[in-house]
Amino acid sequence: MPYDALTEAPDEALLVLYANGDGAAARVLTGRLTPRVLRYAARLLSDPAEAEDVAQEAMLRLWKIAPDWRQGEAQVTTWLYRVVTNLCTDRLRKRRSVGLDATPEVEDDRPGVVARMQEDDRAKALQAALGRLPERQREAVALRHLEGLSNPEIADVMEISVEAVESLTARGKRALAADLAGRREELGYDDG
Amino acid sequence: MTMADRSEEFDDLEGFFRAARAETPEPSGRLMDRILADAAAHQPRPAAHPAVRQGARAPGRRPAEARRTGRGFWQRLLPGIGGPGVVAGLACSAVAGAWIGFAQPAPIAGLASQMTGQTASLDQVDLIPAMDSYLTADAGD
Repeated sequence: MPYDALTEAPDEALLVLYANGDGAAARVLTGRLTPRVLRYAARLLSDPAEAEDVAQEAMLRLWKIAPDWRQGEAQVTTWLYRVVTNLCTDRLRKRRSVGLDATPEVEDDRPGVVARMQEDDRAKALQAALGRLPERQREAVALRHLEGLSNPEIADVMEISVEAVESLTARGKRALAADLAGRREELGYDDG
Repeated sequence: MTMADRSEEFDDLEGFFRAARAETPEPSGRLMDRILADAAAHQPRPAAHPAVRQGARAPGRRPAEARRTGRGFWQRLLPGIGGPGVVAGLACSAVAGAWIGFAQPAPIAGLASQMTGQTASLDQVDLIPAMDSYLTADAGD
């Protein structure tokens, strides 16, 4: 199949093509899915190097499951988000077991933040606050508000009910708002 | 906290989310290469792949081992005749045919009678009448 036609094909069709020996399908899937997987892993782990390892491992699991993929049962992206969630949970658990902080503190207190008030600082402040959330709330908030998934999709990823997703995101947002409230002024929200 | 305060806080939160969405890590070329290498290493090989026809062996399986287990032959044969499902169907038909031949169940004998106009058991039905005379003539020569 021509490469241009592959770029239009749905994920599941590409996975079947890959399983049938089409190398170009693997390239399209890698280009399409790796940024999402890496981004979500980085949200959960706050560690770029670890997020890369998780992204590679998640994609490796996708390649391995391709010959046995059951079409129509789940979306490829939903399955991948679930794998990333589980891999990150394992890593966070290991961090705790060796006595490290649950999440490394993102550098968000550099001098000059008040004066510059850049979007970059808001993003870093949010990432730091996300890292302080309980894991399940962090997953739900990241999937809903940063990855743009719907509540039923998040319910599939996290294997919980839609009501539980709503509860987790609501509690997560409340906690984030409280955490960030003290920084509203320095991040440019009380300019007048 | 009043409803208005809470609404204002959540509006602010959306600003943080927007900033975070705009700042997304891009996968490095090295990571993409590693993932593509994994994809190539774990990609299933089609049965009729040119490399197989040219005698190249699949990674992880030695030819001697393939010969010993006999799986190499079956792995090449099965896709050619339609896969394990077709083989199972053929085997089932063969067993059913043999059973009908030996047991001669009444419905089959009845059917044979209707088709041939003879009331004989299946072993007496002459399905190729000319064959007997041919064989007899041949034996006589």
